[in-house]
Amino acid sequence: MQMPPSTPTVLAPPVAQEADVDPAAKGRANDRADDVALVTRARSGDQAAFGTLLRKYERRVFSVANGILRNVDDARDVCQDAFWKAHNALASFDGQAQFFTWMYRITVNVAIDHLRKRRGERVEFDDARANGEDEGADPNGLSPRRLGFDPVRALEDRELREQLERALQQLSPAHRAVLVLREVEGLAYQEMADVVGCSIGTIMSRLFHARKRMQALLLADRGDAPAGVVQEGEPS
Amino acid sequence: MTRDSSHISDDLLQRYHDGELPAVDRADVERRLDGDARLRLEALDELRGLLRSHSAAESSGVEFSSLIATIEKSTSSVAKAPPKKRRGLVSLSAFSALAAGAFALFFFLRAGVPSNEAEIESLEVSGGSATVLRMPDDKNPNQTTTIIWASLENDPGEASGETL
Repeated sequence: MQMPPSTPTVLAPPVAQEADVDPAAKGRANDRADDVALVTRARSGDQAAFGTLLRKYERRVFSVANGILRNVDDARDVCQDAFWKAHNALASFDGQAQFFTWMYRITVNVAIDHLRKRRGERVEFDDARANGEDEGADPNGLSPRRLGFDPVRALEDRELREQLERALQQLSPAHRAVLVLREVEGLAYQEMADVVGCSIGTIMSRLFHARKRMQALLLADRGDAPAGVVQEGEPS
Repeated sequence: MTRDSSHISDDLLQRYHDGELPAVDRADVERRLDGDARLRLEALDELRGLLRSHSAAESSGVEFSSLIATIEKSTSSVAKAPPKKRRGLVSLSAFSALAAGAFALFFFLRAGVPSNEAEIESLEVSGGSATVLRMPDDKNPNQTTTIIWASLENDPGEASGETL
């Protein structure tokens, strides 16, 4: 049977959003248009176009992978696997979502699969445990106390980075995912929901519990009682 | 320990911190920011700063050029060997075996065991290959039956056979 020639589908042009009023949004719209053009070229076999996408997003993809896995070598493997999967699935990218959210979604899924294989157990990502209800989280609200660290110095402060790492290691993968997507990558709630595949309400809940837990763990690591935490048996 | 949280809830403060509030609500929060809410906001800012610095420090130790080279190598090898081409080669081999079986069946049905005088020749032609079978006609020794079986490389699923 004669197969029809494979002609790349022209992707739908990105929808302009707030581009007329917000310079940052206009920049994002241009960025999105550039990505769509690159994806269209890559789909027709232009390896250079895919290389441009790769160089543009490799650090961000690595950051998300490492944020979830907390292991640089594993994050490299996941980063490589995610780009390979994206390359082979470019035909399924319809241009309705932004390329980077599509790329992040692949990365998060590959990272979860990696965790499952590494641990040989179920990785909680969608249930109550992921939301922190049974993690011994602070029953009260967000901390009203600063930790007293200088974020600028955190780059060189080895002890501080070790404290952060210990705290992050104690979070669930779902909590680490929302923290890296929001705090490091700066995604909006809707973008995070698209990436993780859940509702905005779930994203907000996870973010709240993840932040609260991080604050409590860092304060405890410093030897301070976590703000707002009432010890068992202690009157409030 | 008690805390005055009557003014701005954590949920509202978190959305304010994340830039997820409409302009009207944002202005309302800013108007109501009191000491406690400001402290919670500063604590959130501090955590964000720490996480960003930590992530930047981790990424700075990664050799991305080698990672890119590895990824490009794996993706370009996929591009050099398109699946369609590989499927074509497999189908061509399967087709050759099928053709050989068809020839054998033809002999048994037509004239029993094939004559030792039959000649089979494989030809590579532009755009594909052909197999030519020549054999004496058992019923009429003065005539020869020739069968040509051609297959096109670009369309391995299609093949044509013609008896002359």
